[in-house]
Amino acid sequence: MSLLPSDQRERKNLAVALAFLAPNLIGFLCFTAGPVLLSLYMSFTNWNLKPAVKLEWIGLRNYVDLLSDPYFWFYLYNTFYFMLGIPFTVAGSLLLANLLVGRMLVGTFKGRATYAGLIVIVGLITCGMLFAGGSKDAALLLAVLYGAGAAGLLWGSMTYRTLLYVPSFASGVATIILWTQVYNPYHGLANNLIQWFYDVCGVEGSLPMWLISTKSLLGFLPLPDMFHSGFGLGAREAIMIMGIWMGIGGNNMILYIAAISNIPNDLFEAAEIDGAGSFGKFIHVTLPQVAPTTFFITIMAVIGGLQGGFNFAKIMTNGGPAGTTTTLAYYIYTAGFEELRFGYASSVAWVMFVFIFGLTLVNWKYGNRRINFE
Amino acid sequence: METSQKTWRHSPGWRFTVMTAKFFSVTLLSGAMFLPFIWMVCTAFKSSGEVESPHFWPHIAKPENFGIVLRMVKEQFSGKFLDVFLWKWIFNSLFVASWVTTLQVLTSSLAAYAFSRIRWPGRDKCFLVYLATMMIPGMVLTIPQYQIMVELELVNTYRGLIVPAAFSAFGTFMLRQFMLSIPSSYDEAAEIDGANHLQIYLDVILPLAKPGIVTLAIFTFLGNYRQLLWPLIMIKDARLRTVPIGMLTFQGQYGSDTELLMAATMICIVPLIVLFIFLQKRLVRGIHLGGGVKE
Amino acid sequence: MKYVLASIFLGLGIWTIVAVSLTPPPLTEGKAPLVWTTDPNPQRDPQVEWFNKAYPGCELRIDPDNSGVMKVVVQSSAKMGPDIIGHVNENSYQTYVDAGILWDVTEYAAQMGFGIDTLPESVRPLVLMRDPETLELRQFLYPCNVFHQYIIYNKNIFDKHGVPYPPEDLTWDQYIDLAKKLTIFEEEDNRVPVVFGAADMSPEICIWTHGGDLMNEDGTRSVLDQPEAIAGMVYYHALLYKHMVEPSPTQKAGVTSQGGWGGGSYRNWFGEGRIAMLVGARWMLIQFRRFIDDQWRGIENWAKGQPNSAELLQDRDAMLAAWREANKDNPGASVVPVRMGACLMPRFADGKRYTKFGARCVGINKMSPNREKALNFMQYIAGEKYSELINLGADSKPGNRKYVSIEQFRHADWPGEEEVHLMSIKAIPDGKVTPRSMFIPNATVGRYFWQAKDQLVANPDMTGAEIAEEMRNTARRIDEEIHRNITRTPRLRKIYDTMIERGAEPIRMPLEDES
Repeated sequence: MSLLPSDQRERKNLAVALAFLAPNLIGFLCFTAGPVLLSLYMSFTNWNLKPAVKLEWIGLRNYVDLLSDPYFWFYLYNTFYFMLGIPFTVAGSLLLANLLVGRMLVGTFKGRATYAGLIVIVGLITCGMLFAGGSKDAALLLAVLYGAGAAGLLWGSMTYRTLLYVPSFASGVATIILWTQVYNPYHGLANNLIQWFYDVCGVEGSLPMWLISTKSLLGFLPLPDMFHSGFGLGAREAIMIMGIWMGIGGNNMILYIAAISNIPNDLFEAAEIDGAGSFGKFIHVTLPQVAPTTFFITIMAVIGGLQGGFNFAKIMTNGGPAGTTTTLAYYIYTAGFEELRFGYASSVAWVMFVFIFGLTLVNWKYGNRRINFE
Repeated sequence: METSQKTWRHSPGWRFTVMTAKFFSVTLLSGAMFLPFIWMVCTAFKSSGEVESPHFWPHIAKPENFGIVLRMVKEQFSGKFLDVFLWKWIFNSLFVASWVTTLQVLTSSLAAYAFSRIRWPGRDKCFLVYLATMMIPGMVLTIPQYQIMVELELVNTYRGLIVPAAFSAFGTFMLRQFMLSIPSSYDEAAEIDGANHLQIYLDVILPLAKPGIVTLAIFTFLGNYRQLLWPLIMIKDARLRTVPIGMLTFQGQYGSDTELLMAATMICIVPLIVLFIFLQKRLVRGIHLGGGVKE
Repeated sequence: MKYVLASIFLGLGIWTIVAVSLTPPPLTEGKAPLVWTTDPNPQRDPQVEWFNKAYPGCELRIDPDNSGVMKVVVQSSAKMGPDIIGHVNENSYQTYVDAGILWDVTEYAAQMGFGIDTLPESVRPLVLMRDPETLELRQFLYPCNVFHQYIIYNKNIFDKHGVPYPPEDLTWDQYIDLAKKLTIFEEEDNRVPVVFGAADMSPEICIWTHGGDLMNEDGTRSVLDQPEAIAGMVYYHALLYKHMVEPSPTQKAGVTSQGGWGGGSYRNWFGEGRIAMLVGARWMLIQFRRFIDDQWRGIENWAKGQPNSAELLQDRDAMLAAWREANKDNPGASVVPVRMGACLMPRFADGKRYTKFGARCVGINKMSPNREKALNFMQYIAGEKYSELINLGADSKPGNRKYVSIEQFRHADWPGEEEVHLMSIKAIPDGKVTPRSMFIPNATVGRYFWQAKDQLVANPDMTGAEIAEEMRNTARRIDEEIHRNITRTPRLRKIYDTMIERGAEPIRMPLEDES
């Protein structure tokens, strides 16, 4: 079979490839291709759901309109801004995954069970004392930590993976409510930590106002006055930090665990023979081997980032303060579903597409080189 | 070659310190990340005045919340059982999610194989186009997609929830990346043995890509179980309602009955947690498989 | 591998057979199915049940929808929309009428008893909308419930600080005075009050009481740049940062989490005795009843653990006093459970009173095959049984004014709500909404206005001149959009020309062929 000239082989492969692609392709053509092309066409029209408005081709007018609306650029800026946190999330997930790939178990089950039992007893005593003393919440929090420790000792990384991943799909509203309190400017955890930091360094500083502030880290950019009010930590940073925290234990971590576990062991052994420590192994074996996954995660993060932010902003800050946390997804919703201007909404969507595709191409050119090492 | 010099890095003392440090830091981190979940559990026991405050332990405990949500206890103000059918919703969600996961894993792995292991003209360009369709914000596609589904009579049926979700560029992309990291020596060896593509796919690549497949299964199942938008638009009958739609029952015009919502959520999430614990063992491929394929 | 796949499919196949056979047949024979999209909260169930009893030829079912307009618009685009559309408010009304989704029910309304004559006068504009073709005012909706805003206050807080209760006919000066007296700070901490004197006043009320508005009567231009509107916004800003009788974002965010106080909404804080006067409406009773119930339960639990529990449980007043004594250190304990009083919204001594109001309405889908039967539902909503359910559940007020009276509001289990009921009736004549415009969606006007308001609220040091500038910018944004919509859409141009002929005020930006 393997002795045909290569282009003939390629063509034969084409048939096989199509067969493999068939189920996916049918669904794709049915449900995706049509609507996508339709929305492209509609972005050049004045498509409006109002029956009284007749459909007409208006060429580039939608695009001209949206590009000259300063609020479009503002929301675009917001959307991009939120994507600044992506590298941190990805790095965090990778580090966590690296830690949790192994089973993290030491010694025998009996031995571990004894220690775990000890932890449980100590925990019960300390928490019981706190509870009786009245600080029920503190007792509960401490109990959680003790429980996590004991379970982690008994079952190793399996516990930690569960503890880290479950909140990423279960918690939603809870996380937002709790984080709103963390960002309390006077009594919240965030500012308490910052204040403690200032005290330790003996520095006088102002505390950021977080969710109610319109300041931002890039506040020195020359944007028109209503779009920024100076340098500092404001609502956008608050949401970014929250996003990073929520993201590191989420889907990306699971992906990395699977990817790292896929690395053949002999590569690690070879590195060890060459004298690499665990840090060296990480840099020279793990990192390059998970490059395809990193590429995937980055592209999905870009796609998700540019389309997202809708729910977040709506629940936590209502798009405020003063619109600093509103993203383009919201703009599309209002144009399309409130004003029924679907032609215009489609054009916004396609402009976003151009940005996303551009970023992806850059990623692809850069990433593909590293992947095809075969 | 000399075995590596024993530096202090390899001493058991250092190893122990590192291990303890890891243990503590991971415990702290995962405990902290788990806190919102604990808050949800606590809130399920709270009375309605307390739910929006961020304290944990309920001041006035109301374990009847679970009874109310399971239709075993009458709701105190209306004196009636809630019109809430958790078991039906869980059944529907599990059913649909199982089908969707199976189908998606199947179609995506086949397509990923085509995009990564077979060389055919235009492969990469085609893949980019395929990827590009994920980049259009989905909101503008809802109307044409819905009209297609009406044409195909998929509305208000089980198959309507399953079939459109069975194809995913996301799944294909992800599995392609996983398959790319499998060295091609495995393929070549199998080819020499006379295997055709289908056999290579079934016997060589699929088993090796198991972590990737398990990951996709987890993501798809979880994602589909929690999806709100499409079931909301597609379903009209109460008998087909899935869990997210059911949860809307607790979110009224004036605000949510958060404590009941949390109680219901706790119950509905249990299958997901069980599934995750069960599947995550298979995330990690057996480490001893590191050697080559038998020649 | 093959075996795994095969067994999975076998399992799924069996499950499918089970699932399909478990589902009951969808429809009862002989009845017209009606689908009502609304939020599926438990209050709806008795409402649906009674309808089905009263109209045996119809079978009403609820289709959950909390997502705003998206579901109805998408479904209707393929003619699969619901028969009865719930949740129609000011913003979505226009969307639905323009999209041709709502049915004009004016002719049937008078015959079947849900005409506008059954509604209080100030509420009527809400259900009427100009038909896009004829420009006549037609009726498309009927309210499921109507709520008017007024002030609910906690008598305990007033008593504790020896401040007299607000009079029913409240003026701005009195409002500010009382609120200042009752904004209590903790000794060391001067930034966030322990008790807020007043909360949730809207900027619209400030604008209206100064004689201004957001849009002009004809809906052709925005009047936010007029001196009255600007004065109103300056006044609102002063409420926040000069008199400090309205919680600023900093104060709201800075609320501590001791003793259950922290996070949450104004209603929560009011229920915990942390707000003296709250701008509210009758539907808040639903939550307040729960809070009060839970608080009493907590007090009873405490009493049960006391040595003299038997006598305490007999005498509620003594029990409350003892509990408050025991919880002296908790400032909140002395003011809960809340004793409610109510008064009307503030006005200037020589001016008119205004209050915000809203209604959640239902409309009928024009493309529904059962739309005549759906009319029964509107009749039902205007009817006695439904209104009774609304009244007992304190779910705002029913639409039909025949059923709005204090006797019908009273609930035997909740004697302390007398004033709240009274005010909710007295506030009706003062209800006002911003005039609708045919040339710009309500939602857009609202959004631009809120963005301007956010700017004000975020900047404590904004001067009067800057506020004026902000308002002028907002007005210009709205005017520009109106201009753009009229020039681009021939249909709107026609409507505008017709309106000009009838003497409407012209738009601000001149159209090309006029200048």
